[in-house]
Amino acid sequence: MARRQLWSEALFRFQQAAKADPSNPRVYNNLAVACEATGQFEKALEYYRKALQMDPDNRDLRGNYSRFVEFYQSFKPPEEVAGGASTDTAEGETP
Amino acid sequence: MRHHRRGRATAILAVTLVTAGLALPFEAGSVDVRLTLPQRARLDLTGRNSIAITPFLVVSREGDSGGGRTVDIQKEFDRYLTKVMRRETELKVIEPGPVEFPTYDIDQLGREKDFWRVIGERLQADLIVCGSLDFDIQDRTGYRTESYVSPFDGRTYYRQVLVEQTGFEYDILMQVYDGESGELLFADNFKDFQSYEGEEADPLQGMFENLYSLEDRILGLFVQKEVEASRTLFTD
Repeated sequence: MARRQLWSEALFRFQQAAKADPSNPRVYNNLAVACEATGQFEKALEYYRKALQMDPDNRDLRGNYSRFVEFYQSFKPPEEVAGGASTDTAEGETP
Repeated sequence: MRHHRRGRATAILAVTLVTAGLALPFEAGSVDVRLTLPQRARLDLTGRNSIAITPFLVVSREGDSGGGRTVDIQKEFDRYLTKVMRRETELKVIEPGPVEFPTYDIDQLGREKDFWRVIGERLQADLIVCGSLDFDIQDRTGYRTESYVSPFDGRTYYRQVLVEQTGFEYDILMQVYDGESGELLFADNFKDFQSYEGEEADPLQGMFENLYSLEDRILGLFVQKEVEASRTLFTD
C-alpha cells in the first residue's frame, strides 16, 4: 500500500515533468512505468507508445515496452486479447 | 528555465525512489525499479462460484507404511486442499463424499464428459477438481566424500562418511472440469521433492512440506497472485 502511494506521488511528478517538457520521450517512459505500478495499464500502454514514437531506437525504452506487452498479454481478459486490442506489436517493433 | 525545472523534478524523483527502496543498481541516466504486478488466475472464473473437490486417485502410497506410521495420502490431501481453497479463494467449496468413478485410468477420466456433467449437476458445482497423487519415499542414505583439515599437520584430507537421508517426492496431477458441460478445462502436474537428514523422517511431515511448497502454484489456478517485474526509469 505504502509503495502504491509512493508510486502515485511519482506519477504526479512525472505528469508535471511531462507538462514542462512534452517532447521528452524519457518522461513518457517514466510515466508509463508509474502507470503500470499503479495499475493503470491502458494508460501505460499509451505512454509507452508515445515514448517509442519519439525515440524508437532507445534500448531501455524498447525493453520496458516488450516486457510490459508480455505481462499485459497474459493479464488482459480473454475477450480483449481475442479482440486484438492494442498490444499486438512484437518485441523490438516500433508501434 | 524549462530545462532547469525538468532537471529539478527528475532529481527529486530519483532521490524519492532511491530512498524509498524502489530502486535497484544504478547506471548513468537510468535506474532499475521493481514493480509488483497482478497475475491473473490461470482458470477463467467468470460466472463460476462453486467448486467440488472429488477424491484424488492414489497412484503410489508409500507413506502408508513409512516409519511404522500410517498416513492416508488421499484423505490428508483432500482435507488439505479443501481447507486451502476455503481459506484462499472466494469459491464455495463442496465436499461430494464418496464418488464412484467409471474408470481409475486418469487419462480416460479426462474423456468422461457425461460423468463429470452428471457430477456437476448433482452437486450444483460450477467446477470440479480431480486428479491423482503419487507420493514416493526414497532412502537416499549413502557414503559422501567430505574434506577435513588435520589438527596435527594442518593438511586437508578426504574421508567417506555415511549420511542418512530420506527424500519425499510428491507428484500431483490436477484436473479441473466444467460442472455444466463436463469438459476438461485444465490439467497439469505439480511436483516437489524434499530431503531430510535421518532414516526415520516422518512421512506426514515430508508430505506437508511438499504441499506447502506447491501451494502457491496450486492456488495460482484459482486466485489472482502478484509477481515482481523490473523496469527502467530515466533519471536525467
